[in-house]
Amino acid sequence: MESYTVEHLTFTYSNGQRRSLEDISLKIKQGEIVVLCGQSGCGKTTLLRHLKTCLQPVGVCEGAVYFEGKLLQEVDKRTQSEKIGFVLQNPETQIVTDKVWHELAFGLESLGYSQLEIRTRVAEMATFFGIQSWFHKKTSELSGGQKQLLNLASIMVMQPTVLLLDEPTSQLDPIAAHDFIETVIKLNREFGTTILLTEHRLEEVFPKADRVIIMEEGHILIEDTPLQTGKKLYALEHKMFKALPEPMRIYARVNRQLQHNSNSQWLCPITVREGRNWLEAFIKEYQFQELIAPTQLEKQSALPIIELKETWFRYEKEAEDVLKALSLKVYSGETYALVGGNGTGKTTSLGIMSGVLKPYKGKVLINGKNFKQAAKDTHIVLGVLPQDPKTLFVKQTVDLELEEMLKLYKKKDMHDLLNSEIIMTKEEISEQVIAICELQHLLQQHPYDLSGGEQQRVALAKVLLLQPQILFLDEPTKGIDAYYKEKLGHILSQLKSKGMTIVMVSHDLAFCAAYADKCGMFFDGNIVSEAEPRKFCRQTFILLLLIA
Amino acid sequence: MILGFVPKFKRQLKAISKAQSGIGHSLSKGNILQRIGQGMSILSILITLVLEESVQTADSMQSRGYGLKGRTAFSIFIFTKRDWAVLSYMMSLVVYIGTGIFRGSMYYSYFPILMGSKISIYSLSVWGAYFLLGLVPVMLEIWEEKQWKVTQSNI
Repeated sequence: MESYTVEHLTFTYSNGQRRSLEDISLKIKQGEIVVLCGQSGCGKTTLLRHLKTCLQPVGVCEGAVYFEGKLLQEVDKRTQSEKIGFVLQNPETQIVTDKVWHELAFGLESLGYSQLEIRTRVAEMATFFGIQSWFHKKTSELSGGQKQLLNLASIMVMQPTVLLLDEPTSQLDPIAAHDFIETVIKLNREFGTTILLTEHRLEEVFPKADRVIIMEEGHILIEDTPLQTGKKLYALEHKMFKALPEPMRIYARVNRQLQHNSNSQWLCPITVREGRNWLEAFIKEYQFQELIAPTQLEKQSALPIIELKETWFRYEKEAEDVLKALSLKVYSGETYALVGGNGTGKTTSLGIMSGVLKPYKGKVLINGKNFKQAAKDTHIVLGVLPQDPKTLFVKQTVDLELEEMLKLYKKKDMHDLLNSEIIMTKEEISEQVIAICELQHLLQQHPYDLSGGEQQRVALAKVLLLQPQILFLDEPTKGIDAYYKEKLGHILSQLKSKGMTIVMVSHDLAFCAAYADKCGMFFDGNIVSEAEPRKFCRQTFILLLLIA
Repeated sequence: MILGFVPKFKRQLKAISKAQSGIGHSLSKGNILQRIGQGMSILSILITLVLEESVQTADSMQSRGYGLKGRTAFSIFIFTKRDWAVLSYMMSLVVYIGTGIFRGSMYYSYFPILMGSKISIYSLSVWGAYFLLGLVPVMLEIWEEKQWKVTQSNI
């Protein structure tokens, strides 16, 4: 039996100019794993939300959706709550209660089950998910990955037949994301739950999916098995190809360089293991020439622009030390990336370097001087792009946001962002920043209406209007799709080429390897290894798991 | 649910003030007018963020059937036989005492006499010294807190 049948679904938001969904027709069989992907704004979330009545957005809708043979409109709310599970993107906001056991029981309470029934089901699910050890904890004490698992468990407790997931791992670090996807696959295998999920990070789900649906601007572009989808995208030379897993992209690039015709066998590897096997077989067939990697010029032992000398930090008097004798040097014009697992202290060290937090022991030197003196020396300005760009938004439209930043600096000499010699007017500076961050067509929109990648660029524009010498980025690639990641990388390269020092903290090793001059691995409150990306990736083995 | 709001608010507030001080709008800089303005903008960001989040929480609740008729409440505690026994024991005692108070059999009177040395400057000073002696641990705690606050002082 089919879980879902969608027939000619067309939808426009009530104040939208164009159609968000155009004539979508698809069938999802019971027990299938389907991955829905596409660029931000292509309509994947809108489509997913149409599969459950209580989450449907307001607007003009045509066409029909059938759930297990019945028209979705006619399925009552009780059945829908039980049978259709929906996991949203943000792990924090989905949690309703303050205790884990209560969260698990929430859905069943609403459905009116008896105490005994609730107790049994909660016990079963908690055991399946391995939640027993944190069953009595407060929900505010859980990590992001645990919260998302809790959300999943509290939905599975109601024993749904279909699970809809809207970018469930975008706010999670790679290891938690991996665990989450593994659990979802396990659910499909053991319970036969139909899974329909939207994702940007396709490395994990692609090998396990039965079918992949690629959407573009409201209609379905490709609908096929993962392997065939890769082949079709490659043939179309579509920009979505960049979102596919690394092994597929490497295979495609090699294919293109050797100019294999498209009729030859497409034995594309999807997982890293398959990729390795293919590469080994490939190497045997062809002759290879060793390329000497361009060595970077040794930086003169100039004064580092940021120096941390044995800094110690903890959040509370009785808490543990988060940073233990951390020493770090960043040179002017360098792009430094801090990588490491969750909770190791990377964001804290960013706070120390930018002056937001103060260590209780040790020194923080900016250009050789400590903070108070550096503040008087107006040449060194620091700007921090926070993890959540929404914490910087105060106004109704994007151009008002940018104006607000300019207002506060009217007394200063306004100079060109990329060349402090040239003096510019306020309008010219704001134009320059808008051009760098590519915000031209977003200026009249409300910041909260933008996608994740767009919001981040607006926040970056605000920070750049500070005209900082040093830019700090906290997890810039969190929840961003491949297309925006590339745009962001392009912006960073532009800034780097003009001499801006950039320090970023990230889980995304691929991004750091592509754009950073130096990577430092963070562990247990200190940096354990520091090297250029090429050397760094060769030295560290386990970190390859962190490639997002 | 409501209990969860306080830590949520606190957490968001911290994140927002950190983000704002990262772009130079620190709460501890500038004259009093600037600081009030900054405080207001932090508050407005907080309210907007919390409102946005509450929409998502509402979606999550709706999706799990909140609002349906016939809602039960789950309790992690089970009421055992022993609980019943203790409850009935305590209730019977309370009822008996209640009737006793009502009938006046709990009336008791106490009239103590307090005697002390004459109040003079000298005796007051001794009392004062005793007070200061008792406060020594309090003063040490305050001193330590101040030391910690100084090293944690905002920029």
